[in-house]
Amino acid sequence: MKTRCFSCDVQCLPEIRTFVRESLVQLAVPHQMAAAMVLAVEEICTNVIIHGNQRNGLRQLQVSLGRGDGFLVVETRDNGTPFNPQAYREHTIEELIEARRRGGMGLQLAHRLMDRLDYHRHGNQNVWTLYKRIACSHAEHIRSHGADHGQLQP
Amino acid sequence: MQIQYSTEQGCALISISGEVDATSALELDRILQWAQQQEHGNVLINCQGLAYISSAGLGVIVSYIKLLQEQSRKLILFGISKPIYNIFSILGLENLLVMADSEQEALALCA
Repeated sequence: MKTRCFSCDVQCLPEIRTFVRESLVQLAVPHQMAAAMVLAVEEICTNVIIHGNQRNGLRQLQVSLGRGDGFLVVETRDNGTPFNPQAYREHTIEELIEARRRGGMGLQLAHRLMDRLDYHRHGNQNVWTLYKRIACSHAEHIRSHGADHGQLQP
Repeated sequence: MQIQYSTEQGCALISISGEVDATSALELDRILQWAQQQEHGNVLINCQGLAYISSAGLGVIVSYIKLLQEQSRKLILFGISKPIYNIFSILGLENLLVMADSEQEALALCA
């Protein structure tokens, strides 16, 4: 599993994209799948930085990436404000246009780009876990290219 | 992200290239606000050089749809690559935004 820490600052988003992209290239993940995962991870990290940590660059956000059994797995951990799933409501695009709202699409996008998206509070940490299913043929290919990556359980 | 703006046949023409995220979306917002404040002419966004856009950038574009409609102006995007188009369509935006293949086609839609 590859892990890196970033400041909770939106200026770090390009670094996060680079880290995820390079890690997926090392795992020989197909380009289209990698592009979807990079975007989904960025959406979660943007929410964590802005809403969970109020852009406080002194705080840290940890991003880990690896492979599980038939899945690619990305996990983010931070110590910010807990996310409340019960308070979250998915708005339609029409509602966002009508309200001229700029936010509200990130989590929807991450959900739709990934096969599974989990959130849980672990102690004082927020843990987001993103899963992307990989076909058997790709899984074998990724296994042979990613021998130095640890295993994550879905 | 690099962004340029000019006027073309009475339309505001905004060219975006590179990657649009939560930071660079602020610059896109500033330019779209400038275009919207012109209060006349349609707004064309050239996406030929756009390599990546997150929901922050999409949100900025979406927030101008109604504002421009209220001014009876069109917001037209052109030159969108397949991967970027896919992101628009995942959110159902492809039916809510006017899209054209080229600048010529976009200008023709303004006529």
